[in-house]
Amino acid sequence: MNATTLEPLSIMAIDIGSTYTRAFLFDIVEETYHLVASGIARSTYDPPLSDVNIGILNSVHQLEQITGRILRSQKNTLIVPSQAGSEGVDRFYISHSFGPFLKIATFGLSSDVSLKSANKLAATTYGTIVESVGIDDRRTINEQIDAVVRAAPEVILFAGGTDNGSSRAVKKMSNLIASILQLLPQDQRPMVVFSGNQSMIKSIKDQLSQYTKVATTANIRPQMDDEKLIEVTNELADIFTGLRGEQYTSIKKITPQCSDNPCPSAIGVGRITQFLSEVGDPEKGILAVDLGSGSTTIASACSGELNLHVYPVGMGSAFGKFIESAPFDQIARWLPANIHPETARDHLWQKTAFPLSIPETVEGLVIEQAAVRQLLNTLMTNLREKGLLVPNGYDTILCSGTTLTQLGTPDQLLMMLIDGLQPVGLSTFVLDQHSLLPSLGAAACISPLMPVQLLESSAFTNLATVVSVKSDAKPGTTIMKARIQLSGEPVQSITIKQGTLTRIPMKPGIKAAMQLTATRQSNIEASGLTDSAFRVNGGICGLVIDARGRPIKLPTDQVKREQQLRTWAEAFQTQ
Amino acid sequence: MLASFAQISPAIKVHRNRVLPINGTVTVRRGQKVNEKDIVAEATLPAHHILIDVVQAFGLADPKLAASYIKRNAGETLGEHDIIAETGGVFSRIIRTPKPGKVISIRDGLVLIETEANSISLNALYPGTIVDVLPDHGVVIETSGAILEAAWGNGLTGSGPIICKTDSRVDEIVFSSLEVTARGSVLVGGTCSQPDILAQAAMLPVAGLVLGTMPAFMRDLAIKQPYPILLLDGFGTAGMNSASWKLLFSLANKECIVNAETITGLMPQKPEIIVCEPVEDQNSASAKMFTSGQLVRIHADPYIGQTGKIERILPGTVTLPNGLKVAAASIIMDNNERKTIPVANLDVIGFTN
Repeated sequence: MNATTLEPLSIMAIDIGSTYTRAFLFDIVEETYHLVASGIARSTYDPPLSDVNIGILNSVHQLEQITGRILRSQKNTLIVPSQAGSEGVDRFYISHSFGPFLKIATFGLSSDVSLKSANKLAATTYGTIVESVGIDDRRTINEQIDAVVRAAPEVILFAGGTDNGSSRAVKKMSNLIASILQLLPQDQRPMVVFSGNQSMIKSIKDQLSQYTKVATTANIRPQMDDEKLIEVTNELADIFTGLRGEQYTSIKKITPQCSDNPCPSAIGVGRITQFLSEVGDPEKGILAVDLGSGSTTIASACSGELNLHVYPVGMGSAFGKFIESAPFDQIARWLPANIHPETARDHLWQKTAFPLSIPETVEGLVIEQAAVRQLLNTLMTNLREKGLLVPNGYDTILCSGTTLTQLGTPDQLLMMLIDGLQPVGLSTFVLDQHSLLPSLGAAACISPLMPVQLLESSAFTNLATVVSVKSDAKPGTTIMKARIQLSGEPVQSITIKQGTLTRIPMKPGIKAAMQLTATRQSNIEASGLTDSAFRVNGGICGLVIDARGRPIKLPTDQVKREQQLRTWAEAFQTQ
Repeated sequence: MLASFAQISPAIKVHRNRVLPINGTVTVRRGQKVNEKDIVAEATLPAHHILIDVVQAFGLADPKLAASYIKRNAGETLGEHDIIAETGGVFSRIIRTPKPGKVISIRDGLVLIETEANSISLNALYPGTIVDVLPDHGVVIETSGAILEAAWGNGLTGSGPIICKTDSRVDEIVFSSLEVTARGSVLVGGTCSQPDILAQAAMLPVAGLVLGTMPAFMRDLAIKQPYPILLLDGFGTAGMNSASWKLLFSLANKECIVNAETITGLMPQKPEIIVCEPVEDQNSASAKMFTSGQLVRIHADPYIGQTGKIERILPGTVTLPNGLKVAAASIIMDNNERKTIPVANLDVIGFTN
């Protein structure tokens, strides 16, 4: 994304989610792009309406009502490009995350190299890996065939071979895929996406295209030590969009009006995260979490290196998948004392049956917040175990998705996010309360100025700066002293004890100097912090010092745990 | 705002897809009348495969040479230990099939054999008329009658006469309800919070269990039962919504079909109970938006399973007691109390196709 000055144009972006379709109108106000209005309507891709365009037009209709601008023609189609009299818009973009997850089988050569890359690639899209086969697979060839046939994948992602390297193993794997394809009925054969040795493209196409559609991308591993994940991710995104168009043909009616290829929402989030990491602190990362109804995207980037992961769990239509896989006691451990676990269990399963429901009571809200804590915690643990998080922590943590940003007051959201993500070091939490990230990413290639200016606008809310310290000291032990000086005010000295949360009010736009002095019981360098003075920014929740250690260990005894949670909640509210 | 529906209708014509998990053969034709147990499609599920690499087994330098050694053609049926390939000559080397099966393909010296196959049959489940044949996949059946869509089902199907086993929509099914006359019936009750009752019902056995709600801790146990279980309103102990209760009560002793399968994916379908009867007119709701006067069912705490009428959709957003700002409606509940409920927690009672 290159933030050069471009011709000012009005822009409309649509994000088609699994539950809601959002429309955004951006335009130049005083020489800078602003979010003029947003509209939201139920997504309409599945029965009984089975037409994505109805949801799109409903959300655009809201934009018209808010702004008074005419955006649709008399034939109820979008006006792109704009016409005289300021009707329509100049640019139009679509991002999408609707529809069931694709079943993907990955094939590679070495399980540590090309198969690993293929699995990472599959994780960047709205797909679930149903089977993986490597050349070093310990199962017999017959067991491998049976397993893939049983899994009935919709896409085969095939990686392997360095460019111009040996072709024998690739050929062997291609033969296996050909055999599997022949076993499947013609109309149920998965599409094959080949992301391997580029000199094999013709032979792979010649062999496999007799049975199914074959698409090719750049080699994800052109050399053993060179992984081209981002480049291939973008190519796969276009292939995925094409597949969605075949599943839901109604989207094809509107895509010709788009100024760029429709973009999977996760790719949009990834683009913005990657861009911010390129312009930010090269030692630290940018994390974006987009908690949706049907999926959750986590993008982690440092110095332009992006790791993108889409999980088939969310807080709406994919909530059931999370609840089925999450041990209930792991969610219940976050519940305060006044909620009976069985009440919580009923509430959570009820939400799986009615995923769009909204918690109406305080009790219901607290239960769903407990589920979000555990969901985020599970996904972050998964990424940490795969080594996909930035070791030095995250400078900025962007939080997006209606199910996340609308699930409580800013204080509650921040507490939920800290508990769920458990960052280390110094991080600024930024809230994308309009769920703009996917749309900004979708527009980024053709209209790069707009997302850059929007990211600096009030469309994003600075929630808080959080200082998180790793320490294994005994609870109650003093682990450091913090000195904070807001401009024009005296220095505040605060003693930080192990196991505590400390909140210092500091409004958005306020800056302060902060210095930490560790005691013998802690090692602030291990948390990516320094004993030199550094600058912190205020937010609507101020500045938070989290000295609860990593990972946060909750007491196993129920009474003590509930007491601990109450103490933290009180500390957060009263300071 | 687009309304969601609690599909509860005393008389409606509906189309239901019956589709094989893999390609197969449709055994009925368009226009044909079918009964619940009639087979409408069959398929063979491939179970095991063997890939024999003749090039590697014979140590051939060129895969093209394999063709002259392979003695079989694609499509051929193989008996146990039949010869697949042989080199010939005095010291002929032979490759035999380890199991009987069928040759699927031969390519580049690779012989692919399918060794076992299990056949599956798909029944109509719904009595009615075949209105469409989906070639190699299944059929669309038109059926009619009273239909109630459920919030959750345990994945099984069944049929039997309806017996209401509680005195009111909020009462629990108790052990004494499970007398021998309940055998083969579909039991209807407000709720059930005793796990042993599910096991007892299996021993009778019953043909199905339809509840308003059930505590979530019994969900895993419900999945293990050999008969279909439906929860019309979901999880908890609130009981059944009054619209469903009244309809089921009016259908007592009639034969019903309980389809507790949830189908996800491109053609999703919720679990349901149907009492098939001829219907003259379509009775589907035409409104797709929430509007004043609609009867609604509430599906979230603290009013799960309660019903009322939309007085009006409130403008803008409303702040709930927990601080959330949401689109909401003013509802006159069945007991005439006025409540403000998020529209996301409402289902219009009716039926849409």
